Order: sequence, then C-alpha cells, then structure tokens
Amino acid sequence: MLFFSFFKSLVGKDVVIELKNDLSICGTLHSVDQYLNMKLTDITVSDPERFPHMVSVKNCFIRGSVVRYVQLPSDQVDTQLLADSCRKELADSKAKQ
Amino acid sequence: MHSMSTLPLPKTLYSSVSHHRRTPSFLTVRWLQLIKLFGFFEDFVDCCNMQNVETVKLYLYCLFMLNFPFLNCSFPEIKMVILKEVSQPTEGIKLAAENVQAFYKTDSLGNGTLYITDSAVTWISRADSKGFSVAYPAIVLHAISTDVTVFPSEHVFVMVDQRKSGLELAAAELEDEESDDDEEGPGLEIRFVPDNKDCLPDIYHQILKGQEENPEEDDPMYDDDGEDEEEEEYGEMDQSEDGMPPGQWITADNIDQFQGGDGMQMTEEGLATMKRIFGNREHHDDSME
Repeated sequence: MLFFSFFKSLVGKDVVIELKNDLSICGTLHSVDQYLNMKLTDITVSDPERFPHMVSVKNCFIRGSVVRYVQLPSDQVDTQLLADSCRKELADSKAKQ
Repeated sequence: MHSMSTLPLPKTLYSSVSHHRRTPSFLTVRWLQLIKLFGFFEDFVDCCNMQNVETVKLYLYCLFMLNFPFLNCSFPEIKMVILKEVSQPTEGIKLAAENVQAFYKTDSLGNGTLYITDSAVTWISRADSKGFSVAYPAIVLHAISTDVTVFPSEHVFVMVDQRKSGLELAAAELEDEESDDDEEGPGLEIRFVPDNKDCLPDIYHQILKGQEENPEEDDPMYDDDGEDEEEEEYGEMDQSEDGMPPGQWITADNIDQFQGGDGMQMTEEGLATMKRIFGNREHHDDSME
C-alpha cells in the first residue's frame, strides 16, 4: 500500500520509468492504479537509437509488472518521511504476525 | 543470387546485440548457409549444362523438400514472427476488429482480424487463418502512435516480451542455441493498423482493460486471494468491499478525493496510514526519532 500511496503523490510529475527490457521512458505520470500499472503522457525515450519505434509514441500504458525502476524527481521525495513510513509499515506487518 | 551487400541484416536486432558474443556466430551462420547454397547452385548449374535430366530432377526435388531454404536465408525478416494455427476466440471477446493489418516492426504480416479478449490479444490473418496470440502478462506496453513521419499510418503499438509471449521469430533458427540464455532483448514490436482509424482509441482502451483485469499471477504483491500473510497486509484493499475496485485510476483530476478523506474508499487503518504519510506533514518531525 505504501508504494501505491507514494506513487499517487507523484501524479502529474515527470518521472523516468526503466523497464526490465532496458527501455527507459521519460514522461509525465498521468495516472497509476493498484497494480502500479502506469499511464504516461508526453513521453520521450532515453535511447532513441535502440528504440526508434518509440519515437512516434506520445502517450502510453505500461504494465506494472514490467517496471524495473522508477526514477523520481528528487525534489518531490521526502526521503526521511518515506524511510520512516517504510519502517512503520514493516513494524505493523510484523506486529500482525 | 544476392550479393552480400543486399543480404538484409535486421537493423534493430543487429545493433541491439552488437556488444554480445552472439554477433559473430550470428553472422557465421549466415555465411555458412550462403556458402553451402552457392555450392549447391554450382552443382545444379553443372548438371543442367550436362543435360542430365535425372540429376536436375533430383536437385529440384531436394530444393522443394528443403522448403527453399535460400528464401529463408535471403529474406529472414519478412516474416520474423512465425504465424501459427490459432483458433478463433469465442469467449470473452471485448472487441473484434476486421481489416486490421499487423506489422512486425515495419513488415506487414498481412490483413486480418484482431480479437481482444479477456485473456489475450489475438490476430488472425484473413489469407490463411494463421496468426498469433499474446497474453496480457507478455504485453510490456501499448500505445497509440499518430506520428506518420515515423510510420506511414496511425496505429496501435504493442511491445511484447518475447520470452513470456511464446512467439517465435524466424531469425531465431539462424542463431546458435547458446544465444537462448541471453538476457532480455528490447522486446518485440507489433503494430496494428486498422483500416478504419476511428477504432484506434477503442483498441487501445480494450487492451488497457484487459491489462487491468489480468494482473500478475505468480507475484505475491499482486496476489488478490493468497492465503499467506500477504493477505492480511493487503487485505485492506479487498476489492469487493471497501478497497479500490480494479480499474480505478488515480489521476490529477481525482487525486484530491483520494488524498483528502471522506471520498476515500479505504478502511480506517488505511486512511490513517495515508494521512500519516501524506496528509499531516507538520507532524512528520515529531514522528522521527
């Protein structure tokens, strides 16, 4: 739930999504759902020579399970808060067990 | 015969693997095939000159039985995706669009019918009823492409993870077996060009729905009904009762109601977590040790 909540806070921000097949797509995060499927608008490809076919694409839908990394705008991320939330969630889930 | 300069090497494939060890073997295989072929043809021409009818017949028979391997060798990228017998889907059809051309990269696989069903995207050629089917987990991304300077017609672009899809490439048989353990390639690019381009948004949205309805099965993170502890943790997302229904997207338009409070379809606990994380930033310092 933490990741979902976190990504929700990034809607409308520019991110770079790196896929497991090495394709990196830079774009504005249009929306995200619970599976972390993402829709991007105004996309550009970091390596157009390797992925020439992606140049013509402006908006796309990305399956959540194929995402390797999401590069975040650093000024939008409160790392302290995030680390704290992670610890809290971990503690909560341990307490439940 | 084709001179070497016209031997088509698929550009993308070539450049994407140029740093791999398979490049030399890939080329060597082609060379060997060509050399064998030249030998074959020399013998063939010889026996034609000698007017040895029986031998000529034999050679022609060999060529026929070998399925004209030189055609494969010279034009491997024309049908890189091997089309197979695919039964026409009958259940759970979201959309069936006729007169849709499928392309692998820029090579047409022909005209056919595109079926978008609950479990897969299937295209079947009109000419010989062969086609291919891609299940949703293998679809990396899809998009509508409208830039006609890159591709002559507007289309739905689909990137497919080849290993998950089970699609076979004709080029694969030219390569050594050792290339199988290779890391993932850039993915197959398939384009669907409908005759009537008004269907483009419809095709896009139906694939999108299919994606939402087919989350990853083996990944505990996406497991909706797992019996282990994951269920407790994610139990608050129970879709039927108070959680997020599938297909619920958070966009800039509706994010307010999800961050604020009462429009939120979350349990108390979930809400508290959310509030703690994003709502009450002023308390943030207190909670740090």
